Amino acid sequence: MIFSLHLFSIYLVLVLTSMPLDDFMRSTGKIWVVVISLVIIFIGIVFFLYKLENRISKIEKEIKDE
Amino acid sequence: MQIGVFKTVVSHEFTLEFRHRFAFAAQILYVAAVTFIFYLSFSEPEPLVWNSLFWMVMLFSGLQSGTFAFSREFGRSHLFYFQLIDPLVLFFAKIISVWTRLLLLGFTAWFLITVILGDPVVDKPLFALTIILGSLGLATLFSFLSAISMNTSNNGLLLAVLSFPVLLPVLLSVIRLSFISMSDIPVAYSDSITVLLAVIMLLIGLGIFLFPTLWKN
Amino acid sequence: MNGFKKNWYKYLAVVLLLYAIVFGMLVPLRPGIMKVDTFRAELGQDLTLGIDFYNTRLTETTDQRVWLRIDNQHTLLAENTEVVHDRKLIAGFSIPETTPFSKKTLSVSVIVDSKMEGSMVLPDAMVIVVGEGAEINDSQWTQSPIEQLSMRWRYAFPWRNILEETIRNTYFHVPMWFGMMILFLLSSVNGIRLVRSDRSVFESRVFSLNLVGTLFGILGILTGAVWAKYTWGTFWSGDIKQDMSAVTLLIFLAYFLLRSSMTPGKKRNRVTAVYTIFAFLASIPLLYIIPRMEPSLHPGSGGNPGFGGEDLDNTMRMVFYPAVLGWTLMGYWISNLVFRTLEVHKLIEDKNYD
Repeated sequence: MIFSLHLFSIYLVLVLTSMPLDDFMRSTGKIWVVVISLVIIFIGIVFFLYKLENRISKIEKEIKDE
Repeated sequence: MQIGVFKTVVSHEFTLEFRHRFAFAAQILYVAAVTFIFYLSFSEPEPLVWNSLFWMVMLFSGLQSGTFAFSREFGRSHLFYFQLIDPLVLFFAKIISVWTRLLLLGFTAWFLITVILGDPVVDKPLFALTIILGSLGLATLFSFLSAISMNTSNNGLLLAVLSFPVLLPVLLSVIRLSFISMSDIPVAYSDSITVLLAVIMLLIGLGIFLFPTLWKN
Repeated sequence: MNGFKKNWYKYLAVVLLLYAIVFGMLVPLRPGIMKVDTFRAELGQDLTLGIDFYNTRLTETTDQRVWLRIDNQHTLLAENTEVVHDRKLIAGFSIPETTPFSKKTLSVSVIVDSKMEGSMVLPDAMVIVVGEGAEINDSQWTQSPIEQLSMRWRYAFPWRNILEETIRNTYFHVPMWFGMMILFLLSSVNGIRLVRSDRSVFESRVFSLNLVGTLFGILGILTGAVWAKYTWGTFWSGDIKQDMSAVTLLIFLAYFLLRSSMTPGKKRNRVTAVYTIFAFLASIPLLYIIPRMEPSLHPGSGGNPGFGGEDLDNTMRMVFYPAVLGWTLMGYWISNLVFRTLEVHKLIEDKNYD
């Protein structure tokens, strides 16, 4: 809840001030660079796990087809 | 006894090499053609261009020689070899034959490029040393990698893909060394030689350890 | 209990990563000077210098002292200071008519000291232009030496000027590379075991570890590119270490190409294992030897000491090492999932052939 409010406030700040993305990334001591890094790692690992799950589903299907 | 076998294998390699001398002549022709094209487009190249031309030629010749050294007797004589000789002996014989070939080619190319484009090299002994070490590095690398890619169906393409990333440490230090040999100001180069030697030792060590496994196939 | 014995490293990974993320994100930065509003002054000028700070609470005390510093012997104390708000200060200097050196410009650092926040430095903050025929006399520059700096330890990460908060990326970007190398090391060890024993279990191990190692490498490149954009200016600045890590990734991508170009079997197992060992050993000079010889933006290059020392203080170490271990264990966990999937697949295929 608090987190989504926070996201909303970021959105508001960006829209109201029509701040360019670059300046936004540099604001608050460039903390957003770290946040983006964490998001990249998270998405990367989730994507990997998604692919792995697909592979496992295929194997399951092979077992059922027998 | 091993040394006797080694000598026999090496001399056999050289005989084969001599029998296929048209291939060597073709490579020399290739060097001359590339150099002439460079002459037409640059006429008086800077050391930077000269350097990249020289090592480009060496790289592609090394690639060709490496593939050639193994594909030449793939087939019946390959089995014959497997039964008779210790794979390590064969590995070193291959390295030596490819190395000799690259050395010959390197110095010929130096001479040819000098005649056509001029010679920016200031420190000639250092450049000669660079050619010697660099061709040893290339020979080891390509012998080893063509042994790997020989096991696959489309080995020419795969050899190129596998070798280019690994070539970088060798090529970087070689290019650095030859740059130093072309500059008027003396620069310390012992670092680069150490790196080059270390990479070569690493490759040879790997070869000793892994080549017998590859050969078993 | 049995489950715990088998799964302890997964719990450890979760705890360490939670610790690394929470502490890595929440521990504050030490106060520091962000920028000054004047970059150029002249001899004999009355200079009012506005200084912007980060993470300071200047209004709580008024004992700030501000110096301009040329070197250890030659400094100039501000005559008056005025706090504008918590993160801004205006300092007034009267720069002497004389110059201590016969140079055209003097490069000056700004040093601020306060009991509350400790001492802060902005290196090479501005230049003082020395006019023609200025008298060389350093007596006015040596009257106010920097002394009695307040040292204050606090649980905080160091302030670095261009890095700012991105210093926290040390716990997320750097462990990707450490984790990658450890996973590749493990896969080479399994490669050696495969070559020795010829059992195809090890082939699955090698493949899964290489896969996750490559994933970590790709994530390392991506996070590194974003970090580089906002500190060095561009996503890819041709830095030697960036280039070499891309080459390392190419070497390992070639492994997957090699593996897919051969038919499964003992021959493929052996060849790919040999290539893995080869690739791992080839990546060591690429990542750890060559970048040290060339000039680079990364720490530990151009003959500098390696990672550590200035770039990693004790507060950061307390988060950094657990983060490396946590990400590595996480990678091992994921690779274990891949490994088990491969093994199950093999079991089914064997059954089908029977």
